[in-house]
Amino acid sequence: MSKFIALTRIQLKDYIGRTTEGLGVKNRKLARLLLLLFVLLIIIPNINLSLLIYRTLDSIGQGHLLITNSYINSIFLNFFFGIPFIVSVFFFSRDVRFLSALPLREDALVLAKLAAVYLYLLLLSFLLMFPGLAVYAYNTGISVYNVFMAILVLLLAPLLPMFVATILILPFANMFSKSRHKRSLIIIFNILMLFAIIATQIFTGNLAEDPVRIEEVLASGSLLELLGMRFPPSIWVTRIFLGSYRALFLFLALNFLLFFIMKSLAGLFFRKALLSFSEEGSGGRGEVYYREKSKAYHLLRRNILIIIRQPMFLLNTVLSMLAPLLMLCIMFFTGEFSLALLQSPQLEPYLLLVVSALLISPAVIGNISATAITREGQAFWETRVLPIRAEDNIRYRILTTIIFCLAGSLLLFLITLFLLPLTLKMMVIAVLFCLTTTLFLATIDILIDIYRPILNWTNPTAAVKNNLNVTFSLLIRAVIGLLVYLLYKSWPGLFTDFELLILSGSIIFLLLYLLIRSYLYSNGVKRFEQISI
Amino acid sequence: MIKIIQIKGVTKIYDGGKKAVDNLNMEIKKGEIFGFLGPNGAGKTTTLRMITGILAPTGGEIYVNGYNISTEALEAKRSFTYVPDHPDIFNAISGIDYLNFIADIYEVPLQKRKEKIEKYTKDFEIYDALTKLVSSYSHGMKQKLLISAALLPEPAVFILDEPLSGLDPKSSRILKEIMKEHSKKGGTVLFSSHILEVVENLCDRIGIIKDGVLVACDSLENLKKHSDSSLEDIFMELTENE
Repeated sequence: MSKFIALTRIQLKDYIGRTTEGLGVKNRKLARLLLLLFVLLIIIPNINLSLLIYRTLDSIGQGHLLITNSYINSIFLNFFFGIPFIVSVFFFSRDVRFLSALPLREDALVLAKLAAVYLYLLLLSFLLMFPGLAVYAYNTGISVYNVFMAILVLLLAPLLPMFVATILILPFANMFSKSRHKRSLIIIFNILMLFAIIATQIFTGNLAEDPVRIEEVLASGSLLELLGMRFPPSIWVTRIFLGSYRALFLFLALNFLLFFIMKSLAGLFFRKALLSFSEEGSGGRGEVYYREKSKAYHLLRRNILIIIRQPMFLLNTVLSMLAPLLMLCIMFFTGEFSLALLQSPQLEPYLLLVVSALLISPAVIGNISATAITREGQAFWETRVLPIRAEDNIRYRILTTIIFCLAGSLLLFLITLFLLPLTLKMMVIAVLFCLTTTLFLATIDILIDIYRPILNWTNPTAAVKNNLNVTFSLLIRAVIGLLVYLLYKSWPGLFTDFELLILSGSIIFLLLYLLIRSYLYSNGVKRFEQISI
Repeated sequence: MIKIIQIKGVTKIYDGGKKAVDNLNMEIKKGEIFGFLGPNGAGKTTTLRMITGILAPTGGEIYVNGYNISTEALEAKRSFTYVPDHPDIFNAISGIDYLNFIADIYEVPLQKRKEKIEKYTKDFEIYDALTKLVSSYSHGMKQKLLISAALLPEPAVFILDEPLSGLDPKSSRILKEIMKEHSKKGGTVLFSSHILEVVENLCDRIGIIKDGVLVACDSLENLKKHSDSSLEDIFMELTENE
């Protein structure tokens, strides 16, 4: 047992250390402040949403269903967020081979690794469930029993989705490891995950706004019973807060049962999935060749391959490019949008705005440049040693971002051509806006990474997700959005002619790009040359 | 003799305040094989990383082939190639992709690269693995690939950090022969090592560093002048804690 504790402790320390390192903030107070800010940014709107849902449910005498809703959301999102994290921790972590050689039981190794996943999901559960529990307690009264139960439920909430996700990954991981297309499979799986997340959010939003839907379900019998039949733990959790010891017993029993199933499957998980996944394919491809290519070709290819050949980087990039497309699909799927609505005459005056917003979305959502240097990791020493100008090094990283973003924009452009009745003029203006915005964002983002490169990561997720550079990059977009909003509030007249507005935006972004470019290729280059590993 | 590497008053202090290299002054001449010795954590890798431009010195100046590595980095970098202690290279390409990449960066003509790639990779017995992904290579194979790549441009200075670790005996021997041959042709070799016998048999001059300070820098003959001790004894004497 002491070995298991030691291993778990080192895994948790490693995870916390890497997460802190990933934030790239050396000042501990600042790191805590940023974490608090992040938590508040998620919790405040969630409290607002919980209040809305509670009022809606309470109006039909079913206020306690807020707990059911919070728990289901938490379980669902924990499940889907847990999958890539479990995959990352087990299959793309550098310590797997080292740990495999230690004299440890296989179940101890698997469970210790899951401890890091648990910590991550616990934070997620807290963010998702706490607002619901707090709103419910605020409205129904706080008791010692409820506080204890809330802590217990919060602590146990990640276990069910984590164990189920791990058990489900087992056959898939086996399949992934044997497949020649394991990168593609992981990406498809994660896109489905994103689809599920967005669908959940839309469903929750609809629930808050539309009590009629609930009443329709109510008409088919007791809502609690109905939900309970579909997913009993959600109802046990709800009944725990209504004072049911039977529900408490059932909930605890389920978690223990899953723990023992997981423990007994750990050996199988370790041997069949984990080890086989770690086996690198060594089959040769093609012939030995000798060809001269330009430095530009090599630098561009290298930067593109760094993204394409690393599943986590590729996933992040593809999701950024496809997220707007996914949103569109989901909105069609959930009935929020329809072809008739998109082609209705009422939308016509706003078509240019819609298409422009769609085309720039890959550049806005995908902040590929913000991790362009970080992604290279320990291989960055080559960049420092090879006789390549720093300007070229930076230029081709930006170009890589532009290629990926414009590929996403092109895809969206082709789709909008089918969906929206666009004129040639609209297309030209929107494309111009897309080009200048992409150019500006790709250039300004790399400045963030030049000033904050994190090259010593052990897990690719740390490089592109748990990285504060991404937050800073999003902050730039938020500031631009805020400025546009303030401009709209101050001079609403400016926003009457959309053509002029988008064209002006293009010119502003072009000027900003030139400004940033000149800074980048002077001070930025100097800073780039100082990056040490 | 032409000084191909000049290290003038170089100091490196890391973020945490640790002084890894302290006022280092050293010169390496054209055509010589220079061995850099020191206990673990003495500052060997830090020094090599500063010479190659991976790390920026906190103070002092470094010249490679007459170019300042900080202010004339590109010119300086054209004069040397480097093999690090850990072969962390971009894994997702094949060995031959990597060699062509290096050859293009250093502008090695097609015929010359073909000859050299075939020679070195066949000598190191990795030719048949060149079409495989680097990620499937063992530590030693990666090391051999990096050495082969570093030799392609016939660099004026060949810098290696612990080059023999991870190499099998046959490859170690080949590498030692390559170093000698490179030196005979007028090239310079600078390498760090823990293996005293190799340094003793191979190097024209030896630098010994301890706690970031150069405690000795001379030919083996001169180092031995004052005693009949072996290099091991001299090393132990110079590096042991008072």
